[in-house]
Amino acid sequence: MSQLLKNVNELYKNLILTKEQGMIIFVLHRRVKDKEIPRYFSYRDIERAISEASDNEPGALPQTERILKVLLHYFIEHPPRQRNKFMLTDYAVKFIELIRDKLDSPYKRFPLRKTFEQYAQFKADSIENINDFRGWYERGFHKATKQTILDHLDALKDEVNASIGELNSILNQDFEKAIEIAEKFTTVFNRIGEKTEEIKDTLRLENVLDQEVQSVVDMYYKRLESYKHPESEGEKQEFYSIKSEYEEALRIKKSVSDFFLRVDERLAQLTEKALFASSQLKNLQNNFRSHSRFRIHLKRFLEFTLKEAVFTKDGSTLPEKFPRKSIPHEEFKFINVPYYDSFITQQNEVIPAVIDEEYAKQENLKVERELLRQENSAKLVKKYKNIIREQKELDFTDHFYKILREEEDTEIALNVGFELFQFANSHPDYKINIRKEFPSERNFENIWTWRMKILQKG
Amino acid sequence: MENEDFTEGVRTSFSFLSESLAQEYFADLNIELLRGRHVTNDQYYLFQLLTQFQKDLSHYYQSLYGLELVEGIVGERRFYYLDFPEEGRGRLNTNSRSKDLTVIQTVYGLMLLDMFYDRYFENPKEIRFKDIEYKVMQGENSTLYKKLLFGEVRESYSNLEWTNPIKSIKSVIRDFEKLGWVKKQSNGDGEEIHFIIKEPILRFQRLYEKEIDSFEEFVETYKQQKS
Repeated sequence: MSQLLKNVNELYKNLILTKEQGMIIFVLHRRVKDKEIPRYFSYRDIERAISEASDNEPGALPQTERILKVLLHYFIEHPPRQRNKFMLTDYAVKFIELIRDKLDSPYKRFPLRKTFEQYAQFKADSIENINDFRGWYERGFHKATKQTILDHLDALKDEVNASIGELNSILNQDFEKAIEIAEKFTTVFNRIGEKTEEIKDTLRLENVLDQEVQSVVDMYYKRLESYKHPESEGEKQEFYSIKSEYEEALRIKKSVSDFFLRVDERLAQLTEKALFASSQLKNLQNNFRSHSRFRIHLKRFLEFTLKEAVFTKDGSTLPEKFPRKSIPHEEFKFINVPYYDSFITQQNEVIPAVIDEEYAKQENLKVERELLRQENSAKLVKKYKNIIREQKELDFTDHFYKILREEEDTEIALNVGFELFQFANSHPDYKINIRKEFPSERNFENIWTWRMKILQKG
Repeated sequence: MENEDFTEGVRTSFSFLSESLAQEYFADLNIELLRGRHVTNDQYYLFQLLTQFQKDLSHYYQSLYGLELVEGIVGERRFYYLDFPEEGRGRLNTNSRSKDLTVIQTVYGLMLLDMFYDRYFENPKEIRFKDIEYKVMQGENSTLYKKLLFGEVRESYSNLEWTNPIKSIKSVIRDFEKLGWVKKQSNGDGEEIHFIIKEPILRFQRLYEKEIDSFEEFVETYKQQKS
């Protein structure tokens, strides 16, 4: 808990009075003001004030000593060098003024426009440094301008609410009286309207203020923007200080415009309330007599119903003959039953795969063909290796086409060729001779090969 | 617009149902109205549908359900609801298709109607628990309310004793909200009682209009019947 909260908690009873104590302070203040008692009053004067304050209250007269014990300090004190006299403290006077202002706001009669014009005379060129601007915001705007507008708004709110409250009782009045009240309220609403207009006017003045505040912000922005890229430590510090000044100016601007925005909203709320009440009043004026009669009958019917209704432990009841009313009512409910596939647990069985005979045959054939191809290739490789060994050379080009013709399988011809040349290439006794010319035989238009020869070295 | 809808040159009674607004919102509107709801402009699309096709919808409910679609007018505001015709209950004549207001609904209905007029010049007409408590503890019918809610008249009642009255107030507020007579401002059961009384509460007034308008006559007949 903060220190302030602790203090408030401890001293609350002495700072905020009970109704009994507060009324005594009000009586004393009035008596001093009316010069019934001197500014420095006596113990006897306090006793009389207690007696007057409790005139309208039931119960025994409160003890003076007990009351004085609470009041003496914050609300009542001894004047200098006069221990047997008492006076009201400044706090007591402020307390009384606070309540008086709330109940009868001086702002109701106070020309807002004039005071605001004065405050809005803020000039951007009067600001030399951020302290000036901060000073204007805290003392000029926050404490004075803002407070004045809020007080005016508060006074208007109280007036609107009090008028509506008073109007609400109009339906309970007899006809002559009600007409009189209704007429009075036409003027009340006109006044509320005028007041609203006045506050709206101040919001227009806000634009002037806004421009000035904006030019202060602009000034800081320019200063920040024109600052060269900071390099030295000193420059960096200066740059950051300008930056923080700009940011503060921006914060002040935002706070000012946020405030006016809120005022605008609250004003709209009040205007709406006042407009509704005034249009209701207009509607009512035409058929006031029947409305008022109905209202009285409604009250009597309510009272009658309450008298007829009886309390029982299970709730209230009304006699059978009492007219009970009904209204059309068809309940719509779609009962949604969740859908289940089956209510029995399904077993997870292994489903044997079905053999596709045709596919198996094809696959077997494929395997056989592959095996045959490998076998034939191996045979041919062996045959040509023997030829190379015996004849010392082999012109493979013709043989390549021969294999193609005989085996009718390009794979075999290519495999054999590949294996033979790999063998010759890696073998120290053989060399390869390739001539870049096409063979004469062109039967196999789609496969051509260079003239390739394998020779035994030496 | 509603009268310009022709199909092959002949205007059919229910052709408004094929309008896109009706296609989208009629089902909702129909259910709400038959549930007893009073539709105000805060249910934007349903309200639009009602204002645009008021005549067609009146005909629809009149011919198929035997019910009247009523337009309530309060100043510049409007609301719509279904009501029984003068001579009977239309197709909703079985008990399950209409609802009697309970005793507690009747009592609180009258209390709220009274509060509506107490706040005649206010907008919105906001009610909190303390307002109801004031009526019960200090209002002009305080003794009667106390007797009815607590069974005996005392200066004050414990929190425990307040439990049942608060429970019944909350349930009435819930039911009235479904009817569109009030609008809750706080959600959840644990929260304080706080709601707005809406113009359709005047439907309740209409239900008891005869009794209220000719109050003396009503009391006389009632007493005769009772004895």
